[in-house]
Amino acid sequence: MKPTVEEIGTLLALKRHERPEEGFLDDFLRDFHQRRRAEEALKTGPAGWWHRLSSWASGLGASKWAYGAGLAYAGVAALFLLSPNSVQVQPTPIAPAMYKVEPAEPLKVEQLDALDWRPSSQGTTGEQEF
Amino acid sequence: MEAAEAICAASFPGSNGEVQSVAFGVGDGRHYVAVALPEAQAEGGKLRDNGRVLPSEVFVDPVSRIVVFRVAGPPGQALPMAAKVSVESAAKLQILNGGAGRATGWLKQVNGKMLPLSLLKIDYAASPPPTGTPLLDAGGAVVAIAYQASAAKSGYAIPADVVKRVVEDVQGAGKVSRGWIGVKLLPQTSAPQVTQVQDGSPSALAGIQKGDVLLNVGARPLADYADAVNAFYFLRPGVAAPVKLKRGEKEISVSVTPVERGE
Repeated sequence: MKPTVEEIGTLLALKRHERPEEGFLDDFLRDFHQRRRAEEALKTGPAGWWHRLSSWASGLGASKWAYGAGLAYAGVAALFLLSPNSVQVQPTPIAPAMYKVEPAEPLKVEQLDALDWRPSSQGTTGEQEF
Repeated sequence: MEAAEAICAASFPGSNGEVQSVAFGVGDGRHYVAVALPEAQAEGGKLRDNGRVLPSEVFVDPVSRIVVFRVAGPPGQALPMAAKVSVESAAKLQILNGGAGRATGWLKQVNGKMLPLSLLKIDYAASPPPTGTPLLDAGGAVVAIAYQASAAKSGYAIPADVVKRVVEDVQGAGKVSRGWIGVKLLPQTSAPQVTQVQDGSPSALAGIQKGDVLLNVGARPLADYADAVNAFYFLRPGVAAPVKLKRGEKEISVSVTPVERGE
């Protein structure tokens, strides 16, 4: 039901007499600034990041699960690559070379004096004179 | 006295009984050649023709173990000797008993033992013939003498030029002699390089120096130490031999006259 012109006039006359309590405006301004500082703090800290991330994720819909899985895989891979190797590799001690390189011994060849190569027969080794 | 056949038999005393060899006439028909295997006492050899012992002088080459019998009676038949022996010339061999064979290469050392002369490796169509059997080329000339069997159908043979070398010594000087030129070589080296030259030796007089690599001795080209040893076997005292050698990048030819090797 729509108010009549007379009712609206009466209401306006009543509002003209309404005044806020003493100090209402000061309290209002103080509350306003406190809320604003709290919001700023939320925007810059880890909580702010988390807040914004959750807001972004909630805006993604169903694809957020794919993003989540990819992120988890990347995380595990990074952990695997960056984690210190559990196998302790002992450095090889550097030892001075204690061996000599000996020249290969020439094959032993016997020179037979006669056509007799029975196992019992022996020839001569070393320089042969002719 | 009847003349002996071209093919006879020789026997030598051995520690386990007599050691047999085929013997055949060469040269003037008064000389017969046989082979005394290492277990045989070559100097005690006897030559037999159809069972009868032929009186003969015995000459032994201690290196090749070839025994030459010089018979006293009338000359018998002799087999011609091939002028030159090579694997190619011995590619088709015939044996007097009807067998056949072919040379497949040279045997220069056995189990790290270098031979004093190279032998022919022979593949036979059947069993190897007895020691001393002459192996003939297509023209009927002796190319080699059967030495030892190496398998059921193969064996080693002494080249005919070894026989000629020994027979020439026996016919000429009445003994088998060895030439000495006074060089030293190392068997281990692949190339036949002179490691030392004896002062005043035939090699020193001919101008051979330490470090020279021998390329030819006599008519024989040398590829390795074994070839050099084989070539030295054929040097005869007093008979000049051409020697071709390499000194640095230069090839030099000299003539060396061996002297008799003292024991």
